[in-house]
Parts: sequence; C-alpha cells; structure tokens
Amino acid sequence: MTTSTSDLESFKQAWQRLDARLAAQQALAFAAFRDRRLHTLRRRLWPLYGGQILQALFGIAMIVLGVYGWRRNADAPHLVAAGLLVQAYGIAALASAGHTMQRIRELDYAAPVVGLQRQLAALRAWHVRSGVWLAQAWWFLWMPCVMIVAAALGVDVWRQAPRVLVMGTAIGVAGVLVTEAAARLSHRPRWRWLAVLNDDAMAGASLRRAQAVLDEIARFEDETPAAEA
Amino acid sequence: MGIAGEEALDAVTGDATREAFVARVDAHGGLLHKVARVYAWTAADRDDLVQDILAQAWRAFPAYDATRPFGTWLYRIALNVAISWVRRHVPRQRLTVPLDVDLHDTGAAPLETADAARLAALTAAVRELPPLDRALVLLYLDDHGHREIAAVLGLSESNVATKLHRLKRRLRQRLEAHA
Repeated sequence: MTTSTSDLESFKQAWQRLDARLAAQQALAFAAFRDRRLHTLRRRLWPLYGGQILQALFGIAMIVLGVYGWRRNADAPHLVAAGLLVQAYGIAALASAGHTMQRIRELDYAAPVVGLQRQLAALRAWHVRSGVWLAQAWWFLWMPCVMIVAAALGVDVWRQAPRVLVMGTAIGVAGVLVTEAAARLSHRPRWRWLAVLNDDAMAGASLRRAQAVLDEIARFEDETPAAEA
Repeated sequence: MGIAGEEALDAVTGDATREAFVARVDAHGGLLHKVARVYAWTAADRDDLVQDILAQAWRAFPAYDATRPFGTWLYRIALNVAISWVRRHVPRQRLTVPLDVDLHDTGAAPLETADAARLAALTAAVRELPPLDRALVLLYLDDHGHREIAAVLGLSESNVATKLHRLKRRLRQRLEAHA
C-alpha cells in the first residue's frame, strides 16, 4: 500500500465513515444517564479528591494532637514546643490538602487542551513535591509525637530518656543528608542506580514524569513555523 | 463545584436536562468513541474512558455557554480527559497488546475490507504518536479546519498549520511502514 497525499485523504474518509458505525456503542454509553445511574459516574471523580480528604483528616488529627500536647503541658516548655511543632505540621498538611483540592476544583476540562494539560502537570508536580516535604518531616516529627504521647502516659522523654531524642535527631539529620545527597547524585550517569532507590523513597519518578509532561507541552506549544524550517 | 454540589445538581436537574445533554452529545456521532479508539487499546479500557469523558462532560454541562459550538466544547473535554487518562495508564498500555482494530464490539455490519484495512493501519499509526499530536491528528481526520483545531487545542492557527504539515508527513511514512 503506497501512501500519497490522495491516499491519506482516503484514510481520512474511511475514518469519517466510522461515525454511523460507532452510534451503537454510543447508545450503550448513554444507558447510564437514561437509567439514572449518575451516582456511578460521580464515583469516577472521587479518586481526585479521596487522597486529599485523607490527608486533610490526617492534618486535623495532628493539629488535635499538637494542641493537646501544649495545652495539657503548659508548664513544660519542651512539651509546649513539641505540641506547637506537631500542630504546625498538621496545619501544613491540612493547608496542602486544601490547596490541592482547590486547584482540582478549579480545573476546567472544557478549557483548551494545552492549557488544561499544563495545569494538570503543574498540579501533579506540586502534589508530589508537597508530599515529599511532608514525608521528609517525619525524620524528626516522630520525636515530638512520641514526647506528647509519652507525657500522656506519665513519661517525660525529654528528662527521663534524653538519649532517645539526641540519637533520633542525629539519625534524622543523617537521613535528610543521605536522601538529599542521593537525590543530587542520582542525576549523574555513574550514580544512576541510586535513582531507583530514590524514586521509591521520594516519589522522584512521579516528579520526573510530571516535569517531562510539562516539557512535552512546552515543546508542543513552542513549535513555530521557523522551528519547522 | 465540589462533589457534594454536583450531587445536589443531580438531584435538581430533571429528565429534561439529562435528555438535552444526551441529545447534544448524540448529535456528534461517534466522537467519544473515536477519541477513545486512539487513546485506549482494549474494549474495556475504551468503555472506561468513554464513561470518564461522559462524567466530566456532565459535570461541566451546567457551565456550557449555549452560544458557543457544542462540538468544540465536547472535543475539548473528550481530549482533556483522554490525554489525562493515557498519562495515568501509560505503564499498563505499554504492557498491553492492542486488540484487532476491526471494531469487533459494535454489533454492526462488517466493514468493507478496504475500509477495515485502512482503519487498522491508520489507528496503529496514530497510536504511535505522542498524546498531544494524536489530538491534533484526530481533529484533522474529523475534518476540522485550522481555526477550530486551534480553538480546541489552545494554539495559534499558524502553529496548527505547521504541526499538521509535519504530522501528515509523519503519518504517511508510518502508514507506508504499516503497509
């Protein structure tokens, strides 16, 4: 089969003749509407929000824990500090989820394709980055959480087991440094194997995919007649 | 509009709105299934994608401006949902062998042999293109002009003309390779 310009036209005509043929499939797709099964379609949109609602609930739980920590131990400055840290984390998690949900709500699928795809890719990049920051915080955040829970059980970790906190801080600092170093090194060809570990630990692959999509959209948009020549 | 607001919309919108929506979508022939055909490989995935497009279109329908062409509005939604869908499903699609593209699941009369061969080759060639290029070719195959393609995609008309010229050349090469 040779393919000249006129041949391409015959392919195009064959494509357009599909319309009548696909009408039967379309009728089946409409059954959901006619059967009033709209709720099943609504459920298809839930995955967009589900993760954010869980993160928001987690943030609220952390705020409650933090407030409980500093209000109940107002006479112990280290526990007040621990409570405030946990509360601040909870606010950050809640704000991040709220911001993401707001951006999801603002998505207009009837907008021009290139604009919406760029918005989606930017949202994905933001979602992954904020997720990494919120996850990295746990190198340290477990300590104030443990301090608050232990205080509720009558144990003051700060005074009775300070070595736990010293070692925890050292491990946390080392953890952050190693993760950051791995992230930087994994960009170099010799250390590419680190990228696999890093991707698993820090959602680096998701971020790279989001960035690749943004780059792809920019290339698609920027192609000009001059570039073609 | 949040999910709760949309549920409320379902409750207050009656059969008339639903039928108006269905009639408008129906008037655009097999648009949804054509889009699904070039973005999803298997019959199950295509059905899934069409339902996703319908869900988003129904969600956006209250904001549709009736003074603007419904086809452009629907095409934007269908392509936006399909491209997002394909980005989510890329790893799975890579592992999936495309089914015979001879529209096996329509229940309609068989295609003419020549048309079936052309469609098989064309679908295979289009599926090899990146998602955004696929959108452009799809609009071209459905005989939309540069202005309408530019409006759907959000590009300038000159950019559309340049891309289309390049894509048609690429498509011809691929069709020859598939022949």
